[in-house]
Amino acid sequence: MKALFALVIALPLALALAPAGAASVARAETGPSPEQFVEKTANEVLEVLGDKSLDHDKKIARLEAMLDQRSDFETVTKLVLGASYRQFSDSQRSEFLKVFREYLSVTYGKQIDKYADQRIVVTGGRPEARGDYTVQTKLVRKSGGDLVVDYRLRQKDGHWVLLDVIGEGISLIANLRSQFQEILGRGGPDRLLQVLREKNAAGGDPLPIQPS
Amino acid sequence: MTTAKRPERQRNRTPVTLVLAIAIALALAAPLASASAQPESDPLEKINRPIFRFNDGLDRWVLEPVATGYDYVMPERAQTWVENFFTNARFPIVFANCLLQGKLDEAAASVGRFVVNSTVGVGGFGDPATYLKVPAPDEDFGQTLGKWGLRPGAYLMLPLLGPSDLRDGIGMGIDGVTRVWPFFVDTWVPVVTTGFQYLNLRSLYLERIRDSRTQSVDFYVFVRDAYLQRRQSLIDDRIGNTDDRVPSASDNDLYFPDPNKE
Repeated sequence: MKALFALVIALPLALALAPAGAASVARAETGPSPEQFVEKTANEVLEVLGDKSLDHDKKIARLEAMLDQRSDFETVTKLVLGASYRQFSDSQRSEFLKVFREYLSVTYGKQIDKYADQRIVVTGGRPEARGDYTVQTKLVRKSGGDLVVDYRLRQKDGHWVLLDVIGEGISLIANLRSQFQEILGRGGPDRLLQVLREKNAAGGDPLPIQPS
Repeated sequence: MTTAKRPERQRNRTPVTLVLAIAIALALAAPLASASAQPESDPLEKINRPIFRFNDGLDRWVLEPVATGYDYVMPERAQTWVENFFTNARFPIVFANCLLQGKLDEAAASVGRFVVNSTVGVGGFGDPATYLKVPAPDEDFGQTLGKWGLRPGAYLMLPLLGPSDLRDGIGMGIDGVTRVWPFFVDTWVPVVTTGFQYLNLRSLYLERIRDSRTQSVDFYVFVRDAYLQRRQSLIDDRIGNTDDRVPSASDNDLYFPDPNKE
């Protein structure tokens, strides 16, 4: 039971910070280290969150702009669909890109305000297969203890981009993939698109539990 | 101890035997359910989902409202004290499983923690050990079995107890026995304390669980995947571990999906 609580908290938190990792990519010739990339980006995000001159919608817009401009959202989309990506037609793919982006914005963006008074400390990092890199951080909270959040990065056109957020040992991409896989298994790409559209229209309210 | 006491002690064993019985029953039922096209990790989905719906409903209608009231009444600091106390009381389990996994440093750290927190921390309500930067190992017998190479087996959704798997169900049973003290008190004592422990814990995660329900498109799968991922990370000691020798998750399929594979 305790494990459930621990893990359930990790994901929302991780995604709230997702725009962080994807945001800043330095254009300099000698790019920043992955650790610097994460640290700098986290600080920029926290700056936006703490900016009292911006209302909630403006903050979301600002963070989304960062994300769009500097991340490889298409790769994230492919990872989240995994092998099922092949089942999607071209038009379903572009539709998924749109709906999935809105889903992240509607469901996770809602909660960004909670994270304004927190701080990220980079604790370490390690190279991964095929040039990827994981930056390990600690999210320092005012109450409730620290949380371990890792960021998986990949190099694209000589810059680091964010691929995944791993909160307390739970990969966001893997978790979303499991959920999407289940829906794809029941009704294919059209069903998944429909579920996400409904979810977005509901403004992120919980869906009823699917019957088995 | 008089003989009259004995039936009492027998009855106290119920939670353990119950968990084991459920685990074994479900294990036997597994082949029956696996004929359908369920994911490999969840052959019992058809049984698990209704139990999950029951747990989820109970949480929404009873536990969450009660925990909300409790959260309103209890100062945050007191909630942390209670949580600290129960974490400290898990010492025998943590210590034993550190040893079983050959982690002598962690075993020593857990002893240090227990001594400091039980004395300076006034019976475990305070947590000076964390302030002193003593590591906080988190081990249980399910993790030990995983370390020994046992696979998780079928995913289980246990009534009231929540997500588990065959390996962790066995682990929970064994850890329950090593708690020892419940065998020496009346049945209602461990029931009430465990209930109180869960209530306090639930009150600390009101917002997070609400958020998770909101964010997921399939809350059942969200919980299942998060549980299985988290347990594997704990077994691998990957969480917050900056030691380079610790391997990352076996993630080739996740981060490098094969475009030619269906």
